[in-house]
Amino acid sequence: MKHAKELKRGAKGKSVFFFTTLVLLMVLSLLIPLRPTESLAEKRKLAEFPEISASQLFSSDSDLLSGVYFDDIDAWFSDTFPFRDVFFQVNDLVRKGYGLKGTEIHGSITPANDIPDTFFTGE
Amino acid sequence: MVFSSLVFLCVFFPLQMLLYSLVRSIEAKNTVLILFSLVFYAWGEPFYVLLLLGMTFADWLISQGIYRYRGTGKSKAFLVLGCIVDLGLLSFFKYGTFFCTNLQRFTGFPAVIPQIALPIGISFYTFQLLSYLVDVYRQQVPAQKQFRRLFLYVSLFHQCIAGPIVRYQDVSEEILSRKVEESDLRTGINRFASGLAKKVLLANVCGKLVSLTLLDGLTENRGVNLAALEKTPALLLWLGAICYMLQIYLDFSAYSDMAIGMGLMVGFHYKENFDYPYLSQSITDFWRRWHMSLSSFFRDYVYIPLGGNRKGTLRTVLNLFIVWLLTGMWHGAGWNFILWGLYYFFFLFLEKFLIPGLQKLPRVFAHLYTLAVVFFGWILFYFEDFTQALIVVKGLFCLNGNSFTSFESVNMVLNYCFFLLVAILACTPLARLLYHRICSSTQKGAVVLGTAMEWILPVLALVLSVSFLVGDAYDPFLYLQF
Repeated sequence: MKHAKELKRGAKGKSVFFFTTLVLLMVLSLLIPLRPTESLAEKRKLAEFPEISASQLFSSDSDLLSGVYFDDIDAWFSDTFPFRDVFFQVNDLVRKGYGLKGTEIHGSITPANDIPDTFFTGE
Repeated sequence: MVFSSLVFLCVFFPLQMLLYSLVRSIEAKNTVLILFSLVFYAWGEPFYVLLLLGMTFADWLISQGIYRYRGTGKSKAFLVLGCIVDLGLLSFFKYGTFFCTNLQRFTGFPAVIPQIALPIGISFYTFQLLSYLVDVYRQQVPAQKQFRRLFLYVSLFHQCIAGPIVRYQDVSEEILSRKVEESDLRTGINRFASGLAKKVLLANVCGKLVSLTLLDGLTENRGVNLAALEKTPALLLWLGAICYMLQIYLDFSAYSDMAIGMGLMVGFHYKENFDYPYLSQSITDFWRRWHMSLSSFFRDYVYIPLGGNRKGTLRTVLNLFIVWLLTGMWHGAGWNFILWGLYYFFFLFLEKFLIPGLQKLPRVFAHLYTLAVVFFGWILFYFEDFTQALIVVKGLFCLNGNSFTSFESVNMVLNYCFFLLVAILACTPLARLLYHRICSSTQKGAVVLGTAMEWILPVLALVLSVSFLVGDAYDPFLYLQF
């Protein structure tokens, strides 16, 4: 009998499975018509593909040379990912398991107005 | 570009693997890697890609001189020239602004401080180039005759911008000929996927908790930050500081895992960069396990050439001092980084000379002592402003007049209790040991379970990571700023 450590465990199949998923994600992400332009849940327009003019290309302070242009592409690519709401749901499912979520605070707590020490007399 | 961006995961990486597997000859494979590395670097630094090219070209020329005149004084002169070029450029870009700011503080000159942008990864690739020059000088490796091959070594996107600092002699043969074994591919996928999950699912969440609790650590809005930090309940400060300690390890080791994994997928074998540093039993032990490629660089190219421990106690102390001053400076142009380096010098000095017993404490105490030193070290590392660091340290023990808990702080700990447990366990080899336990069993059930885990876990990590990254724009690795 083969020792467990010598088992290949379908290394080839595993690679095929992993890289196929990767390629499928690539195909999905490049299906531009599937990319949403606004989010109904968040009530906002999603990031747009950045534009760059020909005159901007070679100017010394252009977005292209500073890297801002590529950052904008990153932002567009991630913000308008196809089926973004489905991914959010998966994400939410994991986040639900982070801890005991009896009470959750969003934003910060600040003290309200002080209660006056003396009775209001109306004067 | 960063490994944890969707453009990288969904376009760059699959496309690179696809093209790489389509071409046959090693030269063509190297060309694919060079082209993709250029795009990878230019995506983040479109202009400074020229600096990367220029520095590599200069060092390639210099290395020809070093090798040609090997064993003579001319070879040494070429090496000195190379060091001046590399360290000069690193100093200009990394420390130019810092130096001018401090000069202005003391002398009033210069009137305007130049704002010099730090090219991504310059600290990492400069060290790689230096190690190449020194190894050629020491005749441990011949000079690379082809520029493109040296450029592949320096620019390879796996390690160019955030390490591990790969030595040329470790990959010089694999640049010429390499084969991807089935076991390499399998391990590579595991390392890449687990690194990705570590970064996206754990380190990023830790990072968000840090910015919620310790504020941004920046010097902007100083007055507001100081007032808020003074009032922050101790429990929140503990949570924030522990999360930072977790984040910096998970984030940086995740990057190394992904780099090692991607290297294996194309036949490169990079050395390990981390060995569960939070399990260390002393500070000496910690630095044998943390960022091993950097500490071994300083050992081999600074400490030992300076004489190491062979020239008496006083000289050893001086050599250690120089190494830790440089280690601090390497991490950033700021006094806090320099102090952080010297903080470790102090504890290493203590362990080596004053209280050698510190290295022989019972396991529990040794571990607690090490964790405490490292914990407070990270607070120093996080805050560029010493006043903020001091407020946080005092606040941890309620010495700012702050309360220990509050409704918000207890709630936050409860909201993230399971997450924190998983993040802490991720700093230990527990998951790896469990996995090996299952995989070393020959029972039928264990074999099926092990194989299923092998297949499913990497894909699950990939899909979950993508789900976390959708809608979450730019999330760089911490070590990119060094």
